[in-house]
Amino acid sequence: MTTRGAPEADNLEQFREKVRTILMDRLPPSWEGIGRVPADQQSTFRDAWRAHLHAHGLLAVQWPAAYGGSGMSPAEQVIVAEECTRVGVPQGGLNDNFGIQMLGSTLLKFGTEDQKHQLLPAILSGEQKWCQGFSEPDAGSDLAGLRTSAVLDGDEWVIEGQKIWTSYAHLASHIFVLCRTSSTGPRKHDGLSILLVEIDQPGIEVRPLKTMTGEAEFNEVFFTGARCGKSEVLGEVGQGWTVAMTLLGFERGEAAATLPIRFRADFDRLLLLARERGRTEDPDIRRRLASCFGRVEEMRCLGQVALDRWLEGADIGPESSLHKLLWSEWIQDATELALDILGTESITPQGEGLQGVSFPASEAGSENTSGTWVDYFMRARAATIYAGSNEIQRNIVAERLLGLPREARTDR
Amino acid sequence: MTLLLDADQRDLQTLVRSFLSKKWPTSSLMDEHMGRPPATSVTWSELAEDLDVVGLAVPEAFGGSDGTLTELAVVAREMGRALYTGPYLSTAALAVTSLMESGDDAAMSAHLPRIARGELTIALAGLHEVMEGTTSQLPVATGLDGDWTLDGSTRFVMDVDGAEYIFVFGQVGADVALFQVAAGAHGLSTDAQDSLDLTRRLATVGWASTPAVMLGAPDRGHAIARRVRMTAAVLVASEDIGAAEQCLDMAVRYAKDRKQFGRPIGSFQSIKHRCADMLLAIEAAKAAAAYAGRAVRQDADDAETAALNAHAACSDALHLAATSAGQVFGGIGYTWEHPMHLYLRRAVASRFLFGTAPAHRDEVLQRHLDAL
Repeated sequence: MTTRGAPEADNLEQFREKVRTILMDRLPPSWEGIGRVPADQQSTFRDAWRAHLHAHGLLAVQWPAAYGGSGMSPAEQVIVAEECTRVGVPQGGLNDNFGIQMLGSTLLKFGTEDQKHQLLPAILSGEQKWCQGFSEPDAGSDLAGLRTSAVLDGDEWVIEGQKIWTSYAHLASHIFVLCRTSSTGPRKHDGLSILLVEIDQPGIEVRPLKTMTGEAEFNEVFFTGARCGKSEVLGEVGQGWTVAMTLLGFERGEAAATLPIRFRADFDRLLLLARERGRTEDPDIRRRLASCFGRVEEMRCLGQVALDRWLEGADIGPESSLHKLLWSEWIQDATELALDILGTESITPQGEGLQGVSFPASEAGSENTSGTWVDYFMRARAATIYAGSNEIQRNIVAERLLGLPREARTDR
Repeated sequence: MTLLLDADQRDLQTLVRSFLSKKWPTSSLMDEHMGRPPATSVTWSELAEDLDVVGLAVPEAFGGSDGTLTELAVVAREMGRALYTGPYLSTAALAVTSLMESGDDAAMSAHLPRIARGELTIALAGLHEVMEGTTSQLPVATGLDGDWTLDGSTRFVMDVDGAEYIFVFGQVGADVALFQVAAGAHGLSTDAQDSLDLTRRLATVGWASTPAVMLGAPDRGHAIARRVRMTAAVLVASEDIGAAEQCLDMAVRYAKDRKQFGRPIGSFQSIKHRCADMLLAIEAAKAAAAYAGRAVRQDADDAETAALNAHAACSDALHLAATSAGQVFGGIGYTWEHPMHLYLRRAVASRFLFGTAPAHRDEVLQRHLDAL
């Protein structure tokens, strides 16, 4: 990425080697990636791995050292993310994306000193595991139309409502909840707040949500008189929408670096599958493989541009919609191609599905079987819906990147 | 090395874009085809002296600006945006690149300073065949004691008119070499082609025992062809993406202005989404071109595949942009008078002139398969 000889580049190269050594030292020589770890060993591995990262200062790399992080520069953060991805190990526990990345970064920006000192160490130690309560059955694309509400009862907020699609709520101790705390204000986006709530209480019920893949990584969360303290608000009361949008923006920097690596690995597996099954000379399969490869390389190049901008200090804003559109549609086309390579074996898939999180890309070391590809195909159907549906993303691109006028709505 | 343009490169971009938008505006592109004298025009000496972009890639020692492929790509992109018709690609980029790759000191000293001063234009024949990978179609060179003659034909040669020399790739046995032929040489015939692309001047050039001078040592031919192929792929990709961006800009402007049913048509989702898809294809392809430019400059291991991939991506992006913009324009974009069809014609020619996107993607896939 940088030319050799420049002192900063050499330091970064040394840093990269140091990180890789820390990672590899803890792994068996036969290590292929977390995608190869059997389902019943995933949880144990992940807990041990998280402890290893923490012990070597590779957890919460984006937090300042004063709050228990490693205070790494953006360039160093990218290196850690890249090396973890290449080696095929997680960058944290299952709830850490929500706790460390999203909530942690948002606390650093909007939190009170008390909140920072209480919550950040607890998130880091794993004592608190967080999940995100945003979407509702009637508020998906139209998130601001949410109806979960909270009213002040003395020193506590009392929360009524329901959240859905809450990842890993079944493993979490806490949930940050976007809810309506007042109904004044001209727009429905006004009057929202993010409350910080402990799950283990009578007023909260977590119910697993099984998807068409057969897995239940998502949940519904029901709030019936649930409570949290008056000061357990992230940012100001009524500032919830702004805080939520900031929070959602926090993953973008590194994803630009790591997703292209993972999708390229997916392509290589797909190509190997085609070769194994003798399909590389089939004109239709071959043309689609060539197109898939071209696109995965384009995604890598666009990811590099995004990274170059981010490292120069630019905020990654609406451009992230372009990335999401590209990879979500890519994985759908790639998994569809996998089915066509597999033919009738798609009807009776052999072997296990994808292991580990495998979201959105499969994990390193995933087996190259009909079982994993059919599973991946099913999971990929959600890719154009979650993280902002592709219809919404196209609206964002058109309105915020091209300046095209918004259409008339009946709710503004 | 970042993929982003630095301040100097951004200045160059602004300079060329504003110059061409005034002196080669899209609104005047159809003038000559409507029987009107063009409102403005651009002379080669303006490009060389005022804008100082002709000698961009010529080394300072030969009177040029010591620029790199990145600078050439910046200019190429603006020329594509404007659908500029002129020997920039052939002379300022490819003739210069092939001379420097040849290591032929005599030829470099004779031509590079004159190119930089805007005194000399050179056409490059055999580019189409080299880009397509159909080098067996190139003219055959027959040599006796260092005197060469060429026999055969080369298609789709750009900007032959007014060129003092034609550089041409020829087959020497199983190899390829680059030759120099003076305009008006014996046995040289030029047949201007009535091409669909009204903004490129194309000709079939025939060679019949035409005397030719080999550029560089006999064993340099393969390296020259490889360098030209990669460079042309990056620069054509840049031209394509500039043209695509202009299609998108025109479409968006129209979508904001044109009202139907009481509101701008750009407020309807179908139009919005079509424009979003154009931007998506353009941004991804543009990044691929930036990456390829850097890879070729650094002689990276993946320089060739990156260049071919960039060309495929940008060619497809232009096709999508031209056809989509045509849809956004509705009836008015379908008229002869509206410049929209010029971009469509450029897109069609670009689909085939420099090797096709599917063929290039297949070549990239095969290399990857071989390496797996």
